This record gives sequence, structure tokens and C-alpha cells, in this order.
Amino acid sequence: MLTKRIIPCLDVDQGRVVKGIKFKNIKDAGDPTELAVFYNKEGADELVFLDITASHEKRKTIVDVVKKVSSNVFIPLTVGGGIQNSIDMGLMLEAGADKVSVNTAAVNNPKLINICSKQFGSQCVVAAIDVKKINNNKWLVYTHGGRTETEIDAFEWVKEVQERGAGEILLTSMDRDGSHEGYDNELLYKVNTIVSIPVIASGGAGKLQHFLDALIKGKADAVLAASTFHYGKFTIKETKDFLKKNNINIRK
Amino acid sequence: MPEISIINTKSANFHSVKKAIDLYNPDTLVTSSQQEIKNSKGIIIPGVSSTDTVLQNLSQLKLDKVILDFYNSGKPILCICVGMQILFERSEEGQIEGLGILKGEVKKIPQKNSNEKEFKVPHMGWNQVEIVKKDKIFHDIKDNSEFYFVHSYHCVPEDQNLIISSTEYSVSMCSGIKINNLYAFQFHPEKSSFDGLKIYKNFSELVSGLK
Repeated sequence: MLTKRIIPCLDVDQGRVVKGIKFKNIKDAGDPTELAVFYNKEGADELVFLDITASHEKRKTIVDVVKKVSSNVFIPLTVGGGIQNSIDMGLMLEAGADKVSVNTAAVNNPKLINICSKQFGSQCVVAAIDVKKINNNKWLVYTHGGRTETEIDAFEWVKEVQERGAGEILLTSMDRDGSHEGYDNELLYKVNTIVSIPVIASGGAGKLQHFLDALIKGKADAVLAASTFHYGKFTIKETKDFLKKNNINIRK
Repeated sequence: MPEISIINTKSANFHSVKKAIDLYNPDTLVTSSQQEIKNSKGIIIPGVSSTDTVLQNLSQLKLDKVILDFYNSGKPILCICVGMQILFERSEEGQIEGLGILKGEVKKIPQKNSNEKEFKVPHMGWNQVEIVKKDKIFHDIKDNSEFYFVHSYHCVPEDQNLIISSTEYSVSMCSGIKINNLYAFQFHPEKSSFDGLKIYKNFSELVSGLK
């Protein structure tokens, strides 16, 4: 049986991990490779690196990060943040990324998903989607790291990215992100009934129960968290043990 | 000449495969040179993208024949994912005829099982690999360990006796095959952490003739 995936997400700024990790056995909390090695040993099923480098000239630092990490850690690696076109995507894949996520650029130019999935295969293309709940039944898509509201309905957009060839959806609830109040399971459930590609839940993890809820109530295929893992609230191993105890299929 | 050649099909990400095998054999090369491949002691055929893309590129590089000859010579071959699927006669994914080393076909993974339960396609993530035939390629790997999969098509060999491992999803899928000295896996050992690396270690030792 396919297992549910637990994915730590690391923000990288100019080649260094920010929102550093607070563990005793990490010497350099800013070193992406050291952290990747650590999470791999802990049992992370996948890693996501989000490049938040604002300065355009320093953007290529992420390529070196991907090269180094993928030379040392042999689990799937997704890279996102600032991907503009298929050339950017090709560079990441060449450097050793397995998947590349596109967000704002895909909203501005949806054909980008068709182009990239045709050129590199659907399995490489992750549609990262940031959404906010507007009213009881409506969620809207946001771009530019959640700063810009669009008029795009989240449920229409998830359908569209699948049709255009995305292989996976990374769905972040802006309402829940950083709240530690739990994932938006209603949103997750609705999206999971619409699409047949895997959906990664993001935004809101704060308790072990939240992961379980996203997987059962939200029907998510994977759960992503950042600060909850980084600050050692609980470890990947504790998360996995908890989920296993609750009869979720998890990698040993 | 390299001891192990990783065949550059111009359509895969070789970085991780190269880094993984390099841990156990310093003498490896990513290449599409016929001469280098022919003279290697073992080859790895990685695969991402689609069967048609890989087959087309192999044919353009005139490597299809080189692979067939290499197989017939009995030297070890390791095929991964699409690298496994191109070995068959045909695939539902594409139009181009496969290499035909293995009899059978490659089929789309069904979205429903026999009880009408729904399954997502692509089959993406870590799934258990049941070892149905003991083999030195699985040395030091426990039965039902998880490996990383990402694919929408699965291999259906005519000769069930060639299957060395299987994996349950909407259908029971063949996840590992051995024919003579050729090994083929649907999962990505280079993405399967410590257990995955053992496959590369075992293959490397097989090439070096240590086992």
C-alpha cells in the first residue's frame, strides 16, 4: 500500500536556510545540506526547498544548493520559488531536483504548465497554489507569496492545472499558514474530490492531531510543515509514530 | 573506458543516479558514446519522461542496438522506471515499438481496483516492495521495505517467472524483473534513501564480480 508522506519545507534565502532549526545536533542551522541529511535520517519522505531570495542577481545560489543537497541526500527533492519559465525549471532539474513547483508564473501564464509537463514530464511539475477562504463555499487563489489576490476560484484552478499536466498540487491555506491551528481540511477534502493527482496539504500544522486530520478528513496524500519541525515542537519520527498508531500507512 | 556507463538518453535526470552509483564505484560515466558503452562492464539505463521520448532518443543515438548487444553479451544491466518500460514490446503510453527484450506490454495504471475503490494516478510516493524471488540484488534489504515510485504506467511481462518483486496498488504491479543479468525496477532506488542505495551497492558489486 502506498504510504502517506511527511514533508519538511525549508525556506532558502541566498543559499542559506532561514527560520533556522533548533536542534542540538545541528552544527550549522543555515546549511541546507546539513539539514537535509538530518531530515533524511529522521525519516522525512521528501524535502521541499522554497527559494525566497528577493535579489534577482543572487537567485542562482539555489542551483548550488540543489546540486549539493541532491549529491548527499537520496530522497525526492522539490524546489520552488521564483520559477518563471521552462528554462528555470530545466536548470533546477539538471541540478538534481526531482520536481519543481510553479506558482505565480503559472497563474499569469497557465500554458507554462503545459509546456513544462510536455518537456520534462508531468511528474516533475508541481502546481503550488496559495488560497484564502472568502466565504462559506468560496476560496480564491493568491499570488506573489500570498500578497496579491486574484479572481480565480480555487476549485476551477485545481481542475485546470491537472488538465494542463501538473503531476501534483501543493495546496497552501493562507488562512492557516503560520497559525498552528490545523490544516484547512474542508478545502483539502473538496480539492481531493475534484482532482485525481496527489495533493500535499500545507499551512496550519501545530499538533500531531493536525496531520492525522489532514490525512483522514482532508484526504491529503502528503502533509508539509515548516516551523513545527524546525523548532523541534515534535520530530518527524514522533509524527510518524503517532500516525502509525492511528493506523495510517507510513514508511518505516 | 568507464567500468559502469550510465546511458544518457538525453531525457532523464542523471544527477542522482550518478551520485548514487559513485558511492560504490568511482569509475562511472554518463555517456551516449557507443564505444564507451560497449566497453563497459555494466550499464545503467535511467529513465524519466515518456517511453516514446526515450526510445526516440536511443534510436537517434543508435544506442538501441548497442543495448541489445550488451544484453546478449550477458553483462549486468540495471534499468530504472522508464528505463524498464522501454524493454517491453509496446506501451499504451506511446506509439513507438519498444526494445522487445522482454515479452509483454506496459499498461496504464487503473484508477479503480476490482472493488471500485479509487486510486490516484500517477502512483507517487513510497510503497512496499514485496520480494517474490530472493536475489543478490536485494542483499541486506528487508522484505516489504518501502521504495519511491512515480509513474502512471506499469509493466506486464508475459513470463511471470521473471518477476522478482511486486507492489500493491489498484492492481498488483510488477516492480522488479530479472532476466539473465538484466535487472529492471519500476521504483527509483536513487530516491529511496538508504534501502535504495543498497540496490546500487549490490549492482556495483555484481559488476565488479565480488559476489
